[in-house]
Amino acid sequence: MKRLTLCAFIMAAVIFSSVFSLVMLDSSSDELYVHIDDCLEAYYSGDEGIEEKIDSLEVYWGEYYVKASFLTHSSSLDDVSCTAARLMPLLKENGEEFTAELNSIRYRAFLLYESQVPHWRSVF
Amino acid sequence: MLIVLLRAVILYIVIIFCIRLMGKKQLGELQPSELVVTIMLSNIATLPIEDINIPIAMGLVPIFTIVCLDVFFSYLSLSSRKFRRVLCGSPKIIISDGVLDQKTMKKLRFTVDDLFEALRAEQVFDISEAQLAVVETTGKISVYVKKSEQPPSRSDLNICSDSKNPPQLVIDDGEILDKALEIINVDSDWLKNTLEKEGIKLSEVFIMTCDGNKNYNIIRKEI
Repeated sequence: MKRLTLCAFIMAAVIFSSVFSLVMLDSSSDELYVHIDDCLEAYYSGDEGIEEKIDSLEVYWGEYYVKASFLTHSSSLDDVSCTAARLMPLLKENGEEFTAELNSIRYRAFLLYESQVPHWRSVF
Repeated sequence: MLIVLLRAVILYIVIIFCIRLMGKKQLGELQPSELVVTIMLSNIATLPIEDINIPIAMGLVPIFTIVCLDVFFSYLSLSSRKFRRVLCGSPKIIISDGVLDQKTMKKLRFTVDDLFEALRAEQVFDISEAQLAVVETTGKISVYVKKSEQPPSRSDLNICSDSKNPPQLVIDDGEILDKALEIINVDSDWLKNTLEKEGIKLSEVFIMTCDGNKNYNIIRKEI
């Protein structure tokens, strides 16, 4: 019976941590989208504070990386880190690539979250 | 490299814990469900060790889930015979009264070589000697030899013998094993008096065995 209780406790912990990680990833992704939107808005409106916003996006990405690395392959996160590191030089070039890369970070974060959601297609 | 080392240590401890959690059954003859769990565990555990890109949680979650399910299912199979049948299957009689059941043999996909090998392992070299042979759920064949082929037992020859427990290990490398004392029904005072009588200290005893009749054997430490 002790063994059964211990297993019930472990199972509950596994279910809780699985659900909690998904909720945490969802809220982190939402915050990342806000940072990306801020950068895009500042870029389109010609705001001079855009560099600070990119800095804060990069800092937030660092936090997001740590959280997401518990759930997904680190290689896919490393790719996004490389993209995030290119944002500042791309801004100075003043090209369309800057907005494209920002949208690519957003989409990869979305894909990462989606890959963790137990859809019918992803389970079977 | 250090990550792989740390992961190997963590997963080794987790797997040991899980095998202990599944109980002693897992270490002996494996039921089909237990075999599946064992194979899956060994496979899952190696993935996050080998590939540092995979988060260790992706290894731990399935390991704990599978082990917990195994424990839940074993408790369910304890309480329901039907469930046990589904999970482990049922034993099949393959030889009855010295006659081979070829239909069952075919069903179980047992070759003649498999059968004879299993019978020889049970010291049966002629099928007609077997009264009953059962293929257990673990795949092992249990054979009950015909009475006429069995060697006579003490009761057949009317030889009296009292049944008693075999000697127990009561001191292991200078350490008293209280559980063994309980089994043979002696207390630690008797043990200490015996050691005094033999003129030996507890720390000098390497092995001491004793049975229910207080017949003991002491081996001193040599190193």
